[in-house]
Amino acid sequence: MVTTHRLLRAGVAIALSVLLAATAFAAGGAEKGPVTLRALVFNGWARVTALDMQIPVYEKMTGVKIEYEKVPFEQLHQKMILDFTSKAGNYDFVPSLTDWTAELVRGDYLVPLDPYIQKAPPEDWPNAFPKALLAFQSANGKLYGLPCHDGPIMFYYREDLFGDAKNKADFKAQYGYDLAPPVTWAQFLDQAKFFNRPDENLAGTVIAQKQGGQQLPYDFFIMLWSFGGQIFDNSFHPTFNSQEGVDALQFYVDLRNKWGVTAKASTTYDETESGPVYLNGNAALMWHWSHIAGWAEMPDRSKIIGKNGIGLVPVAREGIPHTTMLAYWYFAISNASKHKDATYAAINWLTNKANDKLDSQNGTIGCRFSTYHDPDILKQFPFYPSIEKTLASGFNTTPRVPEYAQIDDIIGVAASKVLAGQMTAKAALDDAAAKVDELMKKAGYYK
Amino acid sequence: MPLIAHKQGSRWAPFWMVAPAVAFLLLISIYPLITSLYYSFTDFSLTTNRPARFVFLGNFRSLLLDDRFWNALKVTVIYTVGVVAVEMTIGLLLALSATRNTRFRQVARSFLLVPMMLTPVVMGLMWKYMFNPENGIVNWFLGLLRIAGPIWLGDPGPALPAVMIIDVWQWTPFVFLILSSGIASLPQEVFEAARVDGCSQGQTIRHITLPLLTPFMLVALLIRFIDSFKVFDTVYVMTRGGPANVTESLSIYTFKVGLNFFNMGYAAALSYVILIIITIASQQFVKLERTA
Repeated sequence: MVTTHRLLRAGVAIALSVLLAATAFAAGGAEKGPVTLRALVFNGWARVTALDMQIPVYEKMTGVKIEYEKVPFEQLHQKMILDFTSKAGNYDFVPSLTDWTAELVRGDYLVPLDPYIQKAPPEDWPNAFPKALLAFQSANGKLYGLPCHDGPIMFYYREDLFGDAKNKADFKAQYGYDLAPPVTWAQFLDQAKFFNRPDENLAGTVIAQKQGGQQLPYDFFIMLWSFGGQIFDNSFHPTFNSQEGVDALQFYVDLRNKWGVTAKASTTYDETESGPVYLNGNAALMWHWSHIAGWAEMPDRSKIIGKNGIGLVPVAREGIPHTTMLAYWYFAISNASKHKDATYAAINWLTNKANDKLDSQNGTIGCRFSTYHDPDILKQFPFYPSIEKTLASGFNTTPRVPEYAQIDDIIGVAASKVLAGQMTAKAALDDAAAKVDELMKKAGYYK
Repeated sequence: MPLIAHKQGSRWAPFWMVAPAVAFLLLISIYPLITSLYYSFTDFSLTTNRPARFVFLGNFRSLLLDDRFWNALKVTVIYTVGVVAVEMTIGLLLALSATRNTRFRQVARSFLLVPMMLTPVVMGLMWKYMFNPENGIVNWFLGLLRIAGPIWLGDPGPALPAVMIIDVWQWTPFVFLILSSGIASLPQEVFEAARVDGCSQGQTIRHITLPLLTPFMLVALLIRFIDSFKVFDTVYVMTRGGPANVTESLSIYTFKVGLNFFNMGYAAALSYVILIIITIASQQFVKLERTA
């Protein structure tokens, strides 16, 4: 009796331990039955609305299920890399930002699409997408993804405020020139001051200046280029601490600290917070990503429908070419995916002509020429010619190096310290340049 | 005879029964500890497609020259000393005032424990909205008192105090819990004798309660020190270490190095430095507790 009881207890204990271990180490065994593809997206991504409509259609059409996991934006990059590194293959495809291409290609985490495109090219290939939207997910002559959302940073202004007769007359009387979309930053500042009306709950502009946020380093780069500066020279030595860089950063910081044309709370905004301020009608001028142009015409997202104008990002002085930041999202296939063929078929379908049009109608920025020229789209979203024009020329992008994540952080900290009044623009940029220089040296770009 | 045979046969049975679970625990705790120690001596990165190279003490040397590490250490020390001092003070005062078990005190005690039940991420998000300079309730209250509320999480001055306030709000109840349990466990005869001898309440607290309560205070101090030194969740959710790195604790910096830059070798070195600091400090607390 005692022996049986003891054996029973031992057996239960061992069984529970084995069960615990098996559960803990379970990583999703081999799939049986229809293929299920898994993707990773982030909370608040504009593309998700259309994705939710497209996935059931695709499943009905092909029998292939698509599931996605949503994470906060700041976890997207981490989760992606951790999955790629572990080769777990938990995600078959991911939306990658073009900033991350160099890093992901160096790690050999993505599948080159060229062989798949040869067998089953996207609709209208090779003239399906603007060349600019294929450039930054390419490396070493290979293409690593199909563009699925967003495009350049655009300059936005309130057409209704600019068109108001009283505003026009008052501005002309005060500043001596006609009220029109600004060409230079000086004009931008005049207009931001003119429209800065706290009693009307209207700010001159709204800027996302939060350290650790996505937008702060991008803003510095846009300012730098618009003041005639560059991030690196041809040998990847940092040059952003030139006089142009110092002037650019100082002007950017002064918008909040000296002239107060953006809320003091701007240092708590990232791009997801600044966009709605403009869309709610509480700012007169803004530069922001392309999706704002679409959202401005959508009743569930905007209080300024029909009032949003698009211009060029201003420059420090005439003669400096107008430029903007181009970064966008593309669907990329994980090298660890166990369903590469099925995944390519899925992302090819998700980025086809019909779906690109559907995306545009649901808060995403289309990426195809067919969308840019579609009469239905142009009726609701008349800004696509501006996007197409910008994509044809007049853009820059972040440094296409695997070390970009650290460069982004160094620049963000430097800008934040100047905003906080802890350092001058010159000291902060010199310090940042020294750090970037050391980083690039250590990475072997030069000795 | 059968009884002796039963005792001998069952001597190893408990070990065999827990062995699988212990092996599993060793695997998920000791193995990562040893692996990360190894990586701290290499240049292991998640975004290079080559094996990690041994750099011996290179990461630790870089750490000593890294001004961001020293800034993070400074922020962490200020945060830890600040929150622990305030929590211990308020927790002790609350424990001393809650010695009588009235109905009101029982109810108040239950409400006092609510902050402890919330997860740090929820806490961080909740307070982030409360501290919103334009729409948050904190500045709204200050507005009623005709005080212009600061940009709590967007200006370098108030940012660190703001995240410290949340820690104090959440964990003072924990200190209160330990100390009030300690007070409840103290021998009553000593207090009766003091009352008979005519000691005032102040004298009783100073000469009897506090000395007897010292071991409990040291336990609370040790646990709060370790927890606050490792602070991450609330700060990350609220400020990401900004503005201008004024809230970037050692844990936040280590996280960025490891999971934003994917420089795992350096992150491992940072983690071990945090571990060494906590271990040395904890040893001092334990020594104090033994002598108390």
